[in-house]
Amino acid sequence: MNEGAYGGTPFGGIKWSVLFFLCLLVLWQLVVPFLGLPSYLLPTPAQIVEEFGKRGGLLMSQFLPTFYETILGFLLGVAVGVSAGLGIVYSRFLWLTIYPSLVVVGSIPRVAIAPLILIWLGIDSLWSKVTIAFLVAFFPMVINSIVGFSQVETEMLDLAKTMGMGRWMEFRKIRLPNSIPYLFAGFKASIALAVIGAVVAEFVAGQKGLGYLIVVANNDLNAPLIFASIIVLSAMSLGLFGIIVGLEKMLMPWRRGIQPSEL
Amino acid sequence: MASVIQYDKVRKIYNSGDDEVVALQEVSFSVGEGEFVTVVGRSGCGKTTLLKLTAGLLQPSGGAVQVAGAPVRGPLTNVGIVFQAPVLLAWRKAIDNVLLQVEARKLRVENYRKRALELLDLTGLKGFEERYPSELSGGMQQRVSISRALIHDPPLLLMDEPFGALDAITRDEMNLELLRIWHEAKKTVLFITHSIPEAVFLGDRVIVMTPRPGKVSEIVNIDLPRPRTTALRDEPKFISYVRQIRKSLGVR
Ligand SMILES: Nc1ncnc2c1ncn2[C@@H]1O[C@H](COP(=O)(O)OP(=O)(O)O)[C@@H](O)[C@H]1O
Ligand SMILES: [Mg+2]
Repeated sequence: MNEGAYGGTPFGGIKWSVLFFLCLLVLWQLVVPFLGLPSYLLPTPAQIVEEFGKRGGLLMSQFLPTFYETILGFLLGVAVGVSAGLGIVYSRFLWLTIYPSLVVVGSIPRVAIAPLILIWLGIDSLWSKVTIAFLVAFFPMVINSIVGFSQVETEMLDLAKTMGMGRWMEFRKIRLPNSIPYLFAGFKASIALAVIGAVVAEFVAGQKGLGYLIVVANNDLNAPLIFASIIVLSAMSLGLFGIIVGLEKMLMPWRRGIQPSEL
Repeated sequence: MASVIQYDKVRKIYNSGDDEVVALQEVSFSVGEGEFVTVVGRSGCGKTTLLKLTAGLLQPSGGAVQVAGAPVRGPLTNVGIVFQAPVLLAWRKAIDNVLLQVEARKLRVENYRKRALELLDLTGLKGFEERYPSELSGGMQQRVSISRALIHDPPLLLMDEPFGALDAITRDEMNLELLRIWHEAKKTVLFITHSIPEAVFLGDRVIVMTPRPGKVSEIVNIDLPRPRTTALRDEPKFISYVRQIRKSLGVR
């Protein structure tokens, strides 16, 4: 078993972790009034919970646009990323021209283009925000699909040739399954980035969504609502991430997940 | 005896940057039908290059390679190949790795399942058919790889240091098993190794190669009785073959 320096397995200790955070919450609740901090600086957990009760409907209605932008941006990122990966792996021309410059593309801070995209595609359009989420999310998908489709042992490809495999079968039986762990690493990185993209787009566009709600709450000095929004966002991220990890476990009984490659 | 493989003044030059590496120079010999020929030499003397030329995975820079009477122009499909690494697909169970050979050839998998199980049994993997490669030891993975090379019943087996990564004990066992399979199936085998005793133990003939540039320095006929047994390794004749080849390789 995996044991830490003080004994106990990492997941056997989950009840300790929960207990620890409950204590922290209690401490938080007690310390804020003790220090006399106003709620617009730091609300207490009770005030945040109260906010959920008061504005549950508002939070839900602002959650949905953010959720759609994230999901659509992510799916678009996956579709475009995987297609680009395939193109680069299968076309010598793209391999020589685009692949080396991808590193440059990757180092552009893509959220910085958000205002431009909003001007081009329209502030009130869902698709302008989806596009921003997509731009941020698609990069790890390209890199991970290139690696997944191309990192196959040369000897395996040699064997495939002597087995009489054509290109299509080689793709189906070797390259595609080989790419699955890498694709999942890409999904995990992309979904987290898509959330960031959607929220940043809403910060800038100021129309609707949890990002917009945070800006509004900030202007109203309503810190409990900011915290509530962040909690909803985090729950959404975590839920989407969990779905991907679940799928990964289901699809790959032969191995555990690998870490997303970052660039 | 008809020759299955014929090398005629084979040359292979690699261009890496500005450098030219002469991997093989003037290699000529032939392998007869049903013969077990071993190739021995230090690493870098062109053994893998020779095997890839034979399988049509590389083209010679000069000379000619003929298999079954025809010049090799592209990848041969009527062969079984085993590399030093097992080269298995991590997402396929042992049996499905063996059956990849069948699927690739668009044969009916159901007709070959029984044969695949027999081969896994023959190579000592009974009970491990449903295991993923990550659940098998290196030796077991290599047995899967050998089963995969045999399932389509190719007349020619090409093996590139297949037991190089195994411990000495497992290696000796695998040698005996391979000889048993070869004896039953009567195939032609080209077996590459860097172990002199292994080359002598297995081969009807040993092709001794030296590097820079890779060429054949000597061909030794191994006149030892078959079936070969472990006890043979202690025979004076076996030892003198080993000594002869060691000398030919310039081992001090
Ligand atoms: N693809 C390649 N490009 C350049 N040089 C190579 C290539 N493959 C092998 N060589 C060189 O050719 C020589 C023979 O290699 P190889 O056939 O792999 O030898 P062996 O299998 O006996 O170790 C070595 O010097 C090696 O560095
Ligand atoms: Mg080699």
